Amino acid sequence: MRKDLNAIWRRKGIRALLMIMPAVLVVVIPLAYFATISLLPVPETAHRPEVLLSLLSAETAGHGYRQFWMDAFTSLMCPMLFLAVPIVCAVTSAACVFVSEKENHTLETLLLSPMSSRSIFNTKITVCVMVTIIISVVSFFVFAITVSVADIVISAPFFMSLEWLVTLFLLMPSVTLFSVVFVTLLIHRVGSVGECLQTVGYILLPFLVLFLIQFTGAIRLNALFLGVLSVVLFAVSVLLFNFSARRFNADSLFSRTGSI
Amino acid sequence: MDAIITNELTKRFQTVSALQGVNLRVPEGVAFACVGGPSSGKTTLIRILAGLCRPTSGDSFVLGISTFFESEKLHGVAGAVLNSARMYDHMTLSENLRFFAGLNGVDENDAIDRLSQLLHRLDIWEHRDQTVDRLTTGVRVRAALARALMNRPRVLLIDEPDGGLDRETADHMRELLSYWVTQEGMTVLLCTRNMAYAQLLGSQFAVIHQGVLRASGDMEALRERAGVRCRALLRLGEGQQPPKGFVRCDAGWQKDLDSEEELPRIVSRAVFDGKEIYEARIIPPTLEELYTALLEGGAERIGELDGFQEDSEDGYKDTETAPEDGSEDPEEGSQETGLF
Repeated sequence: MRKDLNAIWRRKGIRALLMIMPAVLVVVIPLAYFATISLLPVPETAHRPEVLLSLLSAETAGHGYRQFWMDAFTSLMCPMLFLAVPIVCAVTSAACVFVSEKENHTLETLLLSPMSSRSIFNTKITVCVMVTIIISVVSFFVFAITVSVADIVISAPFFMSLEWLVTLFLLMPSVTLFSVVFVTLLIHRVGSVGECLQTVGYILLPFLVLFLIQFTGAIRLNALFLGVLSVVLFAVSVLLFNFSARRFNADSLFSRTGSI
Repeated sequence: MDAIITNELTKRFQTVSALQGVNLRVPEGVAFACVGGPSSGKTTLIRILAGLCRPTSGDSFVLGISTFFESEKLHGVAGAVLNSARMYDHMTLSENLRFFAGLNGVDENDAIDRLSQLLHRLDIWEHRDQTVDRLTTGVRVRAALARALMNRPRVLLIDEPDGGLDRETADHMRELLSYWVTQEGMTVLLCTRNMAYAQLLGSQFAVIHQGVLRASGDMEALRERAGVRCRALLRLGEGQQPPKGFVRCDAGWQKDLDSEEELPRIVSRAVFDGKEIYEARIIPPTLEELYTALLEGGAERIGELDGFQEDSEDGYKDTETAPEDGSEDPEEGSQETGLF
């Protein structure tokens, strides 16, 4: 486990990605948004879109134009930005721990040890999930501080809600496990860490679409919806985990027609 | 007891047949060399025995442990050195060895002792604090051997490195493996295409070609199977004619023998005939010669050729033989001297 943690930490590119990406997603973007809505002048004729207003809490209706847009951002957009953190971190750490080992021919050496392939698989999954959850939780606290300060400055409603709690405690762990397991399904096919990182898009895109659909007013991702989504995602992850664990053996990982 | 047993071992990769019904027996406590050319199935054989590859059919056992179904148990008693199993580049050699020793359940203090012993014997002690990515190819090969030996395996499986072995590495490996085989009763199975190295290291051999085991056993068994004879070498005084059947070679005169017992008779007869013999010795066939002969059909084909030679009388056989004592008619000489 310590070796896998070191492997993630020692690679400059990976380390930078795991530190910079969350910072951009949960600090830089919210701050840029806050600065934009604070500094840009508000035309007297400006009015709040009814569709969006209906998606927000009743408390928002009593606030001003800037407060409305801040609340809309933290309630509708920020969960998507926040979920990008576990997805990116999970795929990156899993690529580093699984694909990089296969690419560098060290996975085979591990499989020559008396440890079972299942326990090697479980250990690596644990490391990836642990790293991702730690980074995600830290990111959330940094995000909470950033947004809370912004809310106080422009007197917007406090961002924390039941949806945010479900996102943090249910959806984020489920997304993390799903993303890590998703990468393990690809290790038989992908040849390099770079190739593996491209798969971030496959996981990120459905969440992006789901959250953006809200702006049409068609659906509202409330706590119940997010809770059900978390449970479904967790169940799918467990199924895929067992499937992937069964395929995680030397014969299936290294079957090739190269050197005979 | 046999340390390694394979029964009708077959492995197919899609349309390519890597191994075809290989039945191999490797006795415990010997250095066994499996030789073959490129793509002969050596690597597949080692991978199956190391528990990394599932055979298409047949089964294999190392110390009675099924190599595929009990791979974790297998890895506790068998080490493997494979081209495709490397160490962590970003860790030092010492860190790598301690890490893999830990995975194999070796106590930390034992691991340090073992590491020191192995690195000194392999003459790579001074590289212990270098990261693996900075090691030369030869040092990496020796380091891989040290890694496989960290948990004192009873069986060691070695696949020859892709680029072959440099002289220094080959010597160190041979010295270390010979020590472990003779002193600790370890069984070594080396798969290589380097026949000379295999002959130096091994006491028993197997010849594999296109996935088929052509022959196995010690040199004598292979020699019989290949139908290759020992040769007698004579170095005679200046201007002296050799006994019948001897042909000129760089070191003197040589002739194929039916058996080693023939040489003393040849020597005594030559001395009786007044020849000055400075050197007389038996040259056994090399593994490479046996390998070539086996690939060409072995004893069966030699038998066919012998039959052809007998049928064709003396015309074919006598073209390169030396005349008996200067006699122009070798047949006549043969009648006179019997053996010669």
